[in-house]
Order: sequence, then structure tokens, then C-alpha cells
Amino acid sequence: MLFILISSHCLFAQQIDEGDSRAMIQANFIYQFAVNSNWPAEMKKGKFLIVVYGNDAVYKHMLEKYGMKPVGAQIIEVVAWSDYKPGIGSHIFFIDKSKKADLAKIMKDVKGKSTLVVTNWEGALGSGAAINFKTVDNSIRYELSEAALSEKKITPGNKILQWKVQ
Amino acid sequence: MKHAFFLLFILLGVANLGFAQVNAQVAKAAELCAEKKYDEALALIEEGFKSNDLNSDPNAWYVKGFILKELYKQKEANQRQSSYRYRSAAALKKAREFDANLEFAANIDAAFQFIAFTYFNDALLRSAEMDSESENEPIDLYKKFEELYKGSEAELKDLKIEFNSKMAEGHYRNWIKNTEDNHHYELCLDYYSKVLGLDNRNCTANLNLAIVNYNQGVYMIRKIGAQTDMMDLISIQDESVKKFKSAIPYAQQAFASCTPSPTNYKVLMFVNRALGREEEFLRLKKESEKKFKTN
Repeated sequence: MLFILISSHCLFAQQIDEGDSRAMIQANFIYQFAVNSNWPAEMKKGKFLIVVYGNDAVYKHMLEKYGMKPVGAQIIEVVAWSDYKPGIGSHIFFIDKSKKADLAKIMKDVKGKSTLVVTNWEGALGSGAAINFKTVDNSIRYELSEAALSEKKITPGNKILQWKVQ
Repeated sequence: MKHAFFLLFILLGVANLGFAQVNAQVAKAAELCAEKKYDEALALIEEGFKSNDLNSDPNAWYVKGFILKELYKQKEANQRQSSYRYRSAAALKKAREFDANLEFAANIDAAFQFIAFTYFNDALLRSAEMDSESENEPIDLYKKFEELYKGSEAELKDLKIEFNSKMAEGHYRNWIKNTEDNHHYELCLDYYSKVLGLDNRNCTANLNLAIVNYNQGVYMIRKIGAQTDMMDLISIQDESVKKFKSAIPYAQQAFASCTPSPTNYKVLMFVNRALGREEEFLRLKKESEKKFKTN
């Protein structure tokens, strides 16, 4: 005569946080690039435009956490692109690896413009990107091409230079 | 009516004693029990203990324990601090102590088991509502259960697993109310680890240890914002990676030893993604979609 009133042996699973932590970190890095770099004077008017191409999770985190935040006297505006459109005029253009096939035409499009092109796949620096995310010991870090930044007339701050990896 | 006579026989230990001499007041109390007049039965048997030398009579102690148990069920079943239950256990202990020939052992054990499981159930219920102030109460109730429990070791192991799992769930619930405070987080991990100490392939514990560690890592990253300095971003990320690395063996064990489910896949997928193992994440995602395709 045993009375186990609430005893049960069913599998109880806690709720997993479905947020994409990699996207959250990349979004914050992009924000750090924005606030810790210097753009030429002609780019310091109007909104500070960040385009996120091909990564909805990064876009959502950028928008949620950093949209409308100030960069100097400018306010951040975050825009998502799912397809390529010519005529890029943003301060930062982040291209996800799912769109790596478009890199060449994007580099052609931003030629002569002070647009910081940020990528997240192996070998992207060699194809013209200025900053590229990479995984080091399971953490997200970034490599940087000072030559590409110089060509864009964008000056990275000490914090950006300090934490770059080779 | 048949049932009442049977109960009377059991209470008087007639079946075992072969009509041995039973104290008249004990016999009368047993009759009142059969009629469910427990208050009267209690008054009578307490009177019997005062006026007769019943202190070493196992049957008298058993009947008293039985009456108190029934009063607990009738009047104080929802009271964790029930004095009827406490006194019933004390009387049954006395019955066992004096039942040298084990004449009443089966009945005493059955009554003890009932009382024991009420403590067990209360421990589980308390774990579901505990907070920082009351987090030791389920433990106290569980200890009482273990003191009284006389079942098999195998069953006890299952019950320990269940209690520790519920305690882990209770601490998890408290932790997510305030993820800044690691007190409940640490206890949650500790209780799930106890479960794995008893059964290292336990699906619930492995899966939840993976989830709790993983979530802790994600919660750290969620705190990152516009105010976060570059150096803090790097160090927060490194700390969260440690949590993701802690999660992976549990996620793998749950995946390997539990029935395949979308949750098992999801946990292993997300932990791999958080560690930058994107190919593995995509492989599992594809496999999961194929396996659990909904029409």
C-alpha cells in the first residue's frame, strides 16, 4: 500500500535558450568597430548606417541592442539585406558567409568609399574585406587588414588594434 | 462490513497471534477503528496506556500508530508539520521495538511505508515551491522519509534520483528568477550531479546539466550591450565558452543514451553552434529535420 502521489518518471527538460550567442557577439563586435574607429569628415553627417547582409540573427541583435545608439554625433541605423543591391553607401557593411559569393561585386561597389567591410569566413581578408571574424579556441575573434582600412580612410582605434589576431 | 471485520482482525493481530490475549481497551479501540471512530479510539487507547501496563505491548503501540495515521489522513494530510503523523511514526517505532517475534512486522511495515511516503511526497511538493528561505525544508522531509523507509534498495535508489531531480528543478526555477545570483545555479548543478552519481546515464540529469550550463553561457552573453567594453566582451565570451564546454559532454551523453527526441538534438546542436562548430550544428540540424519531419 504505497501512495506515491506526485512521483513520476517522465523526462523533464529545462527550457533551452534558443538565442544565437555567436550572432550576439558578432553584433557587439560590429558595434565596437563603429564606436572605436574614425571615419573621414564627409562620413560624419546624417545617420551612421550599418548594413547586415545575409544574417538575420546578427541583424536582430544589432537592431535590438545597438539601433539608435550614438556614434559620435551620429545615430546608428541598422538595415538588413537579404539580397544584394548595388549602390552601397553605409559606414559598415557586414557580409555573412552565406553570401560570400557576392563579395567580389560588393568590393567593386564599395571601391573608393569609406565603407568598412566585415566578413566571417576564412580567407575573406585576402579578397578585400577589412575585418574578418574567426574562431580561436571556440571564441570569436577578428583579424584585420590595416592596408584595407587605410585605403578606406578609416582609422581603427587602439582597442580595435589591441584585440586583433593574426 | 466484511472489510470492518477484516480490519479489526488485522488490528488485533488475531491472524498472527492465534487468539492470544488482547488488552480489552486495545480491543475496544480496534473496534472503534473498524467503525472509523478514530478520535474515540485514540482517547481510549491513550487511557489504556495510562491505566495499564501497555508500554511493552507491540500490538497496543501498533493500534495507536494506526489510529494516529488514520487521524493524520483524515485531518492533517495537508500539514507538513502534522503532529498526528509524527506521533504515529513514534508509536510505530515502539511497536517495532517490542515486536521481538515479528508477529506484527508486516502490518507495522505497511503503516510505516505509508507514513514514509507521505514525507516523500511532501518533500517533492516542497521542492516545487521552495525559495532561498525554505530550501532546506524538502531535505528535512526527505530525511524523515529515509529514516522510516523499509523498502528495497533498488526502489530507494529510484526515489533518491527522483528527489534529487526535483531539487535540481526547484533550484533551477529559483536561479532563472535572478541569473546574477549563482547560489541556486550551483545547487542545481550539484543536485543533477548527485543524480548522475546514482545513474550516470540518467537522461533527465544529463540533458538538464547540458541545458543549465549552456543557458548560463548564453545568459552571460545576453548581458553584453552598448556599455560593454572591448576587454569585457573578450573576457565574458571566454567565460561563456567555458560553460559551453562544460555542457558538451552532458549533451553528448544525453544524445547517445536517451531516446532520440527533438530536444536532444536541439541541445547538442545549440552547444555545438555556441562553440563555433558550425558544420556539426548544420549536420545535426539536417538530421533532426529529416528524423522528426512533420507532415
